[in-house]
Amino acid sequence: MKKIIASGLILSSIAFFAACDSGSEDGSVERNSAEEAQEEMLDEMAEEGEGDVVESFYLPSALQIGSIFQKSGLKYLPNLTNSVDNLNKYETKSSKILNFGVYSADLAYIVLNGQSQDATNYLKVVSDLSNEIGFGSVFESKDLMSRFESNLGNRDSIINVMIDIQARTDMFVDDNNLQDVTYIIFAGAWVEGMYLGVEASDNESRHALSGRLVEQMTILDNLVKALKSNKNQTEEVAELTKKLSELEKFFYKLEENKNSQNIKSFKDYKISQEHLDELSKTILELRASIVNG
Amino acid sequence: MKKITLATLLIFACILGTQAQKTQSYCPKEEVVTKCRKALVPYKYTNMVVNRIVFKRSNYIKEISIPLYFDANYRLVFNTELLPKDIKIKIYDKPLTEKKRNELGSFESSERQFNFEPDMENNKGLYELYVNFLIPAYIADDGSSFIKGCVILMTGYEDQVSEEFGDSESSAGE
Repeated sequence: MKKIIASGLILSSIAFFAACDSGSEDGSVERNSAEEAQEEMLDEMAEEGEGDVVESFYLPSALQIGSIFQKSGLKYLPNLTNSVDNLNKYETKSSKILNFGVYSADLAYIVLNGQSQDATNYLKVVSDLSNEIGFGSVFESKDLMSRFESNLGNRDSIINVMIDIQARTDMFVDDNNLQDVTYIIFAGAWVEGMYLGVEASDNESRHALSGRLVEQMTILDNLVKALKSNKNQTEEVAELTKKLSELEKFFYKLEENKNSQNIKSFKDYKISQEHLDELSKTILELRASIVNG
Repeated sequence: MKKITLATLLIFACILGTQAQKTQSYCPKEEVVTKCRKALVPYKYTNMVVNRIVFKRSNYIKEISIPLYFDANYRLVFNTELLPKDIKIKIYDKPLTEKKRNELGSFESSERQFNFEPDMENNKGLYELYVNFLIPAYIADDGSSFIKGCVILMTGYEDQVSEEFGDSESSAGE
């Protein structure tokens, strides 16, 4: 018995030192001709577009989208956002996640337009839903919530709190490997952002906003790819992905139209009334399918 | 006898602990994220992506596309401190699948932290950036094929120039 324990001890010690030693890699690189050749090969791959490619996805924040729309003249219209009373409608996990995104976009719209009272209500809804979808710890910080409440009258400070919430969410997502969930959240936020863009524009801001709406195509492209990267989608999310893919095809038509006129920037592109109506109709249907639960 | 058993158990616990730490700690990003946030100022934080880099037995490229809004200025902060081996990072105006694309920036990960700010004034049609991580093949001294690290990519924007948006005279119709 003693021999077995002693052998175990020796083996353990060897494994222990091996394990401790393997942590000492400092990443120092000794350059040699083989490495230089390898580097050249990689450069060539990048230039020629060859070799194995792994794609990863980047999506902006709901706050940034709201901010960009607002700068282009988007007005604040009360009662346009998803009512906080709808919260109890959302029973499936997917609909909770999607509407967490919807309410986040609404919160950004409200904050950017300095609507203090509504901001508190919407933050509460976002915080409540975060608990139900497993993101509760993002809002656990009392400091964050009290900063939000004490700065309600100060738009810039509130925006800074919102930015901190976004940063905390990004950390939390990465720590817990929840990227697939954030893609669904963003889908909800994106649809709501587009809905607000379509519904809150008036004749004065329509031109500026139409370029903005078409510009969203690049984000939609990333969003669809990100959603499709999850092979275990729920039926609800799969259906939404399908609808977003169809919308993407519509956007491609607009881009072709822009390019055929030799217009470089979306800034200079004016969408026709016919196309704007088609876009509005699709967005309204998409949004209804999410917020109606 | 009891002491030996206890010592054995302790060593096993240490090994397990070390291994668990190894799997979780190839990207201990907290301090690095703080550094990136500082480097982002005065731009407004918009997003952070932690790019897991796995060194394999063959060269490969990891691509991430970043949508841009036409009248905002951007800063991309890269931190490569958590890489066990050096890589190259190149930024283009088009994806890898496009034959004709322009290189907008090129960095060595040995710089550890660097910023990239696309020239939005002189690139009017630029509405997406493509960041390519050029990852060289690697086999460790002990013969193991895979080693991991990560690159933090944080982005921020500044939209002051958008106030000029309404002045455009070059509007075109459909």
